[in-house]
Amino acid sequence: MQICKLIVLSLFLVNQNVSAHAPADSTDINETVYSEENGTYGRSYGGYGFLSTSEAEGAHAFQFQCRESDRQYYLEQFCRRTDDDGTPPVTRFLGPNMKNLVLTRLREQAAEYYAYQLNAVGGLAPRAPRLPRPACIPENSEIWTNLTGNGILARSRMLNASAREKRDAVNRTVDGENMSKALLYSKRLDHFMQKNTLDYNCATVTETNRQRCLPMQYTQYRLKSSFPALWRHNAQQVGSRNPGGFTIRSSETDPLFDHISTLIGANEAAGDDAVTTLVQAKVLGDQELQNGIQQNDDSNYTNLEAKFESAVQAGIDAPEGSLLKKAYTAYTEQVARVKSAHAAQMRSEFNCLCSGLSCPDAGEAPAATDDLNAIRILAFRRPNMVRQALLDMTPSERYLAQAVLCESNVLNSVKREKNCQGISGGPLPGATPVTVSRRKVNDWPYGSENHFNITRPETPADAPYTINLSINMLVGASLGGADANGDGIPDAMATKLQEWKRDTEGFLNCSTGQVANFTPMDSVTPTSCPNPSDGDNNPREGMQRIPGLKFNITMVPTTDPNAAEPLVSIHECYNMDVTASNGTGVRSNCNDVRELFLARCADRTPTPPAAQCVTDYNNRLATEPYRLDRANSGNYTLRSPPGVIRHEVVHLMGLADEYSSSAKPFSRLGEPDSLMNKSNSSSRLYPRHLDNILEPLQCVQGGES
Amino acid sequence: MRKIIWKLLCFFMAVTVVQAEDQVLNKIQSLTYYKNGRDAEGILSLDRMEIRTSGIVNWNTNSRGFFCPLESGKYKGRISKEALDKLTKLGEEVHEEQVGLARGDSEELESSREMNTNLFLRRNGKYLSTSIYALTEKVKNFEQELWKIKKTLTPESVISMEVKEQKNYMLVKFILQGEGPFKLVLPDKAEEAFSTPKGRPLQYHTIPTKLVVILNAKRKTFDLKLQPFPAKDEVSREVLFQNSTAIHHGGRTLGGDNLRAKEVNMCGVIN
Repeated sequence: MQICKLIVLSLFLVNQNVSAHAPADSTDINETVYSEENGTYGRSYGGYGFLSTSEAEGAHAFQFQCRESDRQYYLEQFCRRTDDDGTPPVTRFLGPNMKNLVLTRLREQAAEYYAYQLNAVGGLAPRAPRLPRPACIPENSEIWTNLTGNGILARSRMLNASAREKRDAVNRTVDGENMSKALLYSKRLDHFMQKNTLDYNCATVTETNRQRCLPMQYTQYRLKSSFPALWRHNAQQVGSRNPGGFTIRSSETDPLFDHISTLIGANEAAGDDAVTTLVQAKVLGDQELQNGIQQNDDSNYTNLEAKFESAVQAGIDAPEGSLLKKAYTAYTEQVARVKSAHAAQMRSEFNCLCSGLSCPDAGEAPAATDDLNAIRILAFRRPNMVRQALLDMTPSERYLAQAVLCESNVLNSVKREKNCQGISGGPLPGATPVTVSRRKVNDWPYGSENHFNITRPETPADAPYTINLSINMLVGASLGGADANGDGIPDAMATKLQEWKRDTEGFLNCSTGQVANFTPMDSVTPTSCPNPSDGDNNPREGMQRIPGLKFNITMVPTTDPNAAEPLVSIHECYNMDVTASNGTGVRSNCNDVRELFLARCADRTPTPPAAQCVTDYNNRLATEPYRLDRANSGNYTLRSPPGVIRHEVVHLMGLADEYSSSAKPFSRLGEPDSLMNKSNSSSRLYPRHLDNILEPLQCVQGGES
Repeated sequence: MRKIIWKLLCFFMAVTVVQAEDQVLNKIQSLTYYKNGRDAEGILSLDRMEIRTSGIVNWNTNSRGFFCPLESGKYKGRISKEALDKLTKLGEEVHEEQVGLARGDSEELESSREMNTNLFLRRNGKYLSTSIYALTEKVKNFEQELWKIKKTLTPESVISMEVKEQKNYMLVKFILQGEGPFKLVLPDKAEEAFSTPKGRPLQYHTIPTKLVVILNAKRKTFDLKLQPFPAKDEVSREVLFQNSTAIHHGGRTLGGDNLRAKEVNMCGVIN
């Protein structure tokens, strides 16, 4: 206890005089993600304004738990990592110095955030006032030193890789097109929330609608916190459930929306002499906006985005004096106004960074009364800044920040809300399984049927959690072939189910270290699996965690189309590129698949003989049939490769897709080797995926304190 | 009395203006046929053809041809008023038929790996939006007309891909067709975009000096080197290239060069 207190005290003193960073032990140095050579994370994704190994990982940064045992764990880890003599963790309390340490660290991060934002919108132009170091930022602060050293404040372009990545990520959030698309997509979400009479709290709705409401709410929240030039936090609603705590800057965004409409309309009318005024162009644009925002079909929206992108490019290339050029100029002038207003807001917040976070001129709430409240307001106001801080911190800093953020009670508003519909049973360990039975919407409007249970006996003490998933595999109408035992299940399918079960279960249990080795379905060479006793990142947050996680997958063949969910249809051909010709909507007609490929074959230049296309198709069917099909979480084909089956099966445990899709323009992209991004045989799961699979436990074990 | 006359006059003028606006907008005739989603190999696939009142055709596709799509980009051309009228009429028939059809089993299922097909028509002041759910004879007839039009288009900014086996690497050559410009974005790690048909990632043999390349009339080709060679268990000697991750929505915006990066989903047969 004394050791830990001394360490914290020394950290506090260091912070006051030298730096806000906790001294790192050798583990910290090895695990520090900041790399001057490769940039912070080696790559930057998306338009969210923060950097991580992936958007999905960044979005997960706030999803840590805050039960009493969790808080204790964070403190233990903090002390263990700052204690270099191997003394066991001893502290149980968060001292004021610890809170101040975290506050100072977040203020440094905030100063950096404001500087990058100002840099992005021209707020640090040569004639603009320079940013002075806020008094609450230590003179030798590493972050502040980096800011000045990297030219953000010195108006130089000599940025190192990390600073450049961070600058680019922030720049994307104030880019005119990105802001416009965020505005359009937010309007689409608003429309469907209103249409279904959903409120931002997702409280006064039926359970079914709540399933749809939560992902829409979360996407809204991510948009509103990621595009600060369009939305500002409403201080009067501090603590309210997201994203109702944000107010759209309508004085800038309403005209922007109108200019987007006019620009699209002007491009629609380009080359047509009949349309001569911007008012007429706007009528056309309004039709496009209405269709893209209000129609159910995602394609209407993606088509709208395509039209907008096309209009911007055409506007740039349009001749001076043309209607399109006028519309484009008016649009860019409005974007400039949005940025100018944002610059004023950022400078105002920067100026009051140290004053207890009270920003009267920015319409903020009264001054914070203590460090914890100051942290709370900062996290409410700029959640993505705090998210980036968590991602940038050394492990020891992060554990302390997690403990403090838990105590600040801020997470209820900034993290994704728990979804407890259809979850019953428990608690675990115990005799009663936790049962999940629901259709889970992950990324509105897409989701999957989740019907499984989680068990963990009281003894032995180190028993793992077990996920028990039984999938009914329906023999599709297109399947036939030999049936030796006469049970109605073609032999080929029965064999395939055994292979899929062995492969998927083996892959999952190998990932979590529950088996010693595993031979993938498409390989003859066994791969050795990690030993759970080794632990990986740490025992509660890595893949080989304590308690462990085991998977028990069953695939039950059936001929009953009304069998219980999860029910997956198996087809001979299933291709989402084709529309169904049989009127059922089921895209499993092999003739349609063949026709599609033959038509595209004939489109080649020079046009090949029809017979050649038939030969090519037949060859492809014989050698690489899996390249002709697609699966989804409710439809597989016998030709689906193992990576696809693994990907689809984990959907049935609640995991969301992590690949880029124009139908879900603000979804969370995973790492290139994430199984939810690419379903290759070499794709893997990440610890966040296990957290998501085990999320139902939070609903039955007392939840978060 | 004077007030009433003024009101009537104002009303008459307003009606006249609205009618004039309607007449203008009624002349606008356009058609967009749009396919969007994941193709058979799970790769983001975009295909969008627009035809305007003037008959100007713009066709954008990130993968033209099969089984190994060799081209990607924008084609342009022009069709006659009669051809546009014929196509619009076929489209209106498709709309009438498809409206009211129940959507199939793919609705809202994870993954969203479907190819959505939509038709947008504007004629006589009406705006029709159609989702194609069933591949009927009318849809086939409509698509047949589109195939014919596609054959008449010329590349405006299109790239094709060639792969040649060299001693220690595979040489990938991107060749511009048309005047361009074509903004090609490559990932910093090749495995994010280049793979074999079995999903085996490929690495750069030599990291390209530029990851954002603009092909135009002055610079028509760009080469890069990949490794390793496809393994023996690969049935097709092909290199797949798709850069949608590299230019995810945040990166699809215009850069300082005012050019939009193109999403590409292509394939090259190893020669």
